[in-house]
Amino acid sequence: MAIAPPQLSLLPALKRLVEIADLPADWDAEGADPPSAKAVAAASYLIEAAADDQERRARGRIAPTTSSPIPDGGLQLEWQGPGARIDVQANPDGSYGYLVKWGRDDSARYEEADEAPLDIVLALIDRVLGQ
Amino acid sequence: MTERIDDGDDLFRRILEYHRVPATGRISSSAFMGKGRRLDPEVSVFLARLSDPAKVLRAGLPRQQLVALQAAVPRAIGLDVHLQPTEDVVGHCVIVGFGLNWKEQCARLADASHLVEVPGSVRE
Repeated sequence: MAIAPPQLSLLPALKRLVEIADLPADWDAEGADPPSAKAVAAASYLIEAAADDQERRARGRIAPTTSSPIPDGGLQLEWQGPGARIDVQANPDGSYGYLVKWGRDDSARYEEADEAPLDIVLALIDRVLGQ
Repeated sequence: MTERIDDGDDLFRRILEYHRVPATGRISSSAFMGKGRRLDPEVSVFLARLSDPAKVLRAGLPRQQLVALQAAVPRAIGLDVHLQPTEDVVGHCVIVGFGLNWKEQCARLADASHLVEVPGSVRE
């Protein structure tokens, strides 16, 4: 699977988030909730916080690889490192959850949590980007 | 007679274009997350053998796309696939049985999925 080079401008990621935030109810034709205001705010904050954190570590202001809606009104942001990937869920109530895929293909190991504090999420993003 | 779903059967799932990673085309795990993920996770798919891909897309919303994966994929990670026909779609199925590692299960389903080209559908 190809890996895209890190995106160093946050603007495309934020623009995409604005588009996703505008999705109506039932955007999946299966009764999905529209993205909640708290989820959009939490996702926006995380994009900025992760970029600030990476800039402090001299990696540059790295943007998420992608973002997508979740039917419960949440949003998902993903960061891809050389050998790992993290999917962070901005939950409808503004909290965060995550799934990390350490390694690739059949040897991959997974780690997940439904709720996690911001500092833990930022530390995991840093580990993934450094892997 | 109950329709049997073989491991080699393809399953379709409708996704939004946002569920594909722009730079690589990989499918995001969120494409397989359901609304009631913690309480009653149930993911809608369509048995390809009984479904016209163009009709499945038409029954969804504009800008949706179709991905496919084999029925063996969910079964290999502890999930099950049940046929659950609706009035309009006889091939409608649900993937059930998500556990505490439901995010990993969604990621494995997504990683094993590929885009289905449907003539006449919208692509971005």
